Amino acid sequence: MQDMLEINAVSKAYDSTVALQTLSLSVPTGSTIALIGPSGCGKSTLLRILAGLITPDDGTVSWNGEPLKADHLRAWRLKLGYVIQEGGLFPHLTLQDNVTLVSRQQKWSRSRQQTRLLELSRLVRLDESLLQRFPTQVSGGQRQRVALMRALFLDPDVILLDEPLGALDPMIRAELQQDLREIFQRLRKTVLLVTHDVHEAEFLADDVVLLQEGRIAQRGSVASMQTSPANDFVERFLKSQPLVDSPKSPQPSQKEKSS
Amino acid sequence: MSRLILCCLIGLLALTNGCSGSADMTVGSKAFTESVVLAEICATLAEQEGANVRHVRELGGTRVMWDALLAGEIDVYPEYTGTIEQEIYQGQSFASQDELKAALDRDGIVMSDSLGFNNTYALGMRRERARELGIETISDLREHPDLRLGFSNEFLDRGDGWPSVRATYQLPQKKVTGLEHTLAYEAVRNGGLDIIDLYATDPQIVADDLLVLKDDLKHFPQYDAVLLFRKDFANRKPALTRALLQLDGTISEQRMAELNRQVQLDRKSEHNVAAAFVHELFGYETTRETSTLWSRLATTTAQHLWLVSISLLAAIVVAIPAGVISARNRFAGQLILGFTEIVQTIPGLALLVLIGILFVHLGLPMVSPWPVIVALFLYSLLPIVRNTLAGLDGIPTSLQESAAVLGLTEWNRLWRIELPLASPYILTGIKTTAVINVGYAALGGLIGAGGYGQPIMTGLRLNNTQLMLEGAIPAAVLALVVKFLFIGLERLVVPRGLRLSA
Repeated sequence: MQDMLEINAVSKAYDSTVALQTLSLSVPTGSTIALIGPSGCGKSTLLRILAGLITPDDGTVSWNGEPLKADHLRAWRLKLGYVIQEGGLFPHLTLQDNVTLVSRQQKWSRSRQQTRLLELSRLVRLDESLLQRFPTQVSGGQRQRVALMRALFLDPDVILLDEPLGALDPMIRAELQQDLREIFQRLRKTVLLVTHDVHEAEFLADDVVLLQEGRIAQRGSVASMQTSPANDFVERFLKSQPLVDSPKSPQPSQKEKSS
Repeated sequence: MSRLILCCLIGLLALTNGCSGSADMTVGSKAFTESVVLAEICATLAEQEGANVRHVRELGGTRVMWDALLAGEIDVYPEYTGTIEQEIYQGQSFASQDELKAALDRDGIVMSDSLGFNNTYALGMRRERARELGIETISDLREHPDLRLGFSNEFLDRGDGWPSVRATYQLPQKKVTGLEHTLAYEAVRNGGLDIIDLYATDPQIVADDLLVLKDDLKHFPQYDAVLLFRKDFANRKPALTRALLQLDGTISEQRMAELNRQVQLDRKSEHNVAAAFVHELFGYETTRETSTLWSRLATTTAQHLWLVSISLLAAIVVAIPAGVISARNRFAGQLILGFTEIVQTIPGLALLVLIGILFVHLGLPMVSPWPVIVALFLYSLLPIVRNTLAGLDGIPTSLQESAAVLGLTEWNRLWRIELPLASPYILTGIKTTAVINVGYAALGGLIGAGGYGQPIMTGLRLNNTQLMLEGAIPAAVLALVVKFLFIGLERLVVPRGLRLSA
């Protein structure tokens, strides 16, 4: 499989705090990568650099060999889907208007929008009749399903998710984890997921990347990290996480929501 | 949001069509009774000639009148020879009336002969109190340094006014209050003041039994009442000019004091007093003034709404983009906010005068609602700019970033996301401004722009509470109406999703 998203020696510091230190990472097309690690390890910074919200101090990000530049940022963003913890839905627009906002800017016909709406509401298992409501009128889980619809609407190449399930209660969270896994497997998009929950990472991703102070501590499956940890930090980090019985039925964790 | 902008544009178009038509003659008057009465007499005579006359009432002081006359915004107004020498020609001395006429002629102005009376400035006090203190002349005041003095604001700083009176007579008094002329009579009557400035034709002199102090050092010049015309008006409308010149020598001091008394003490309208006088003098029949409370209210309300709405609409069109720029660029924001804050600290009257001067220099119509509209517009900027900025700054970072990462264009982010999210704040800013403007628009009364300020100013001049309330009560009611109007507007402008979550 060809490497399509290439992060090459990226560094970023905020004042005196180092967030990323010459970090390199290749993400093969169609794979789902989970970024995990303790608060302040740089996982969110990396995601925000990919979204173009932060410019790295050093290093490059390239897509299909093309480096990402500020002057064609919008074209890149149209190829991105982006979901954040609370969904980032606009409170003044109905769910439908939130989802179709960019397609209207891109001059999609009404019927094309309707077809896509129908398709996606089935995919994320959202009752279509809810689409006329405003974000404050539906539950947190429903809002995240809508946020996913919005992210997927233009059929993007890459999907970035920053703690998408972080604010949900355990029952809903487990249900959405199941649904997300099915969606990722069905669509085979390139997905980068930030989470603080090892089990969620293991359950959803093909590959888990554990970050430590702005560097990659270890990459692989959680099982391989448990059997042969790269260093002390990996061992300690995994031990601090609640035990898991089976990867098929994830234990939703209720830890702090920071990233 | 787009609906709000549309409403603004339609409103602007509709309102700018409502401007005034043309008149054969525009007569102006200063902000005191005698000037208004004389101007009404001129208007009545001109109407007898079949002319379409506009009377710009209570326009302001000498400077404003003179500038308006030179600019051609008025064709004629009543003036006094002493004032022309002292105020317009800054104390140049003219050996004769012919020399004065020649100087005026060089400025393109024609002066009539004296209308028949000398309305000189004088100092006066209660006759009884003068007798107690043994005062008969202005020189006698030197012996009484503790007397309380109160003068009209114009008298306090004009060339032949208080400073030069004090110099001529070497007067020791320090306690001097500036106040409105009508209130000065009130104050001297109830003992709050001892000495006030008078005009020789003030009806209160007789009514209140005041003693006019003898000008023993001959300080005050002659104040013969005359009419000042623009030369081009006299050439263009010879018949009208001839009609007005019939007034020369027809009004004695007693006559003028009597006309003033009818207006100020008997509460007759200037129009009716002027009509009766013209009838008596020339036998002309004029139609009686038919203005009722309701027709006056309709006029002032229309004028007031015009002042408030035009200035507010213009402010919205300018201040919302200014707020957006401020949110995008901190440096520009500091400049914009700084400017609007400075404007806000300038007192209303001062701002109005500054704008008036600017209008004269730019050759814009000063005798119009526009200076007031510009002043209100400037006052309206700060609340709208500040609230637009606060509304945009208050949008959560997560939403701003979501909009950016979605790949929306800069324009769509502003138009579809940021302005709608900020709309409740922006609307609050506009509402605040509208309510304040309803009050501030009363400034219009100071420069003849009409509105509720007109009856308030006239009421103040005539010491007529009923007339003042005719302006003050509707202004208060209008402020309330505007407030409720905005509750309705909120439903129209603020997106439903935001009203749900509030």
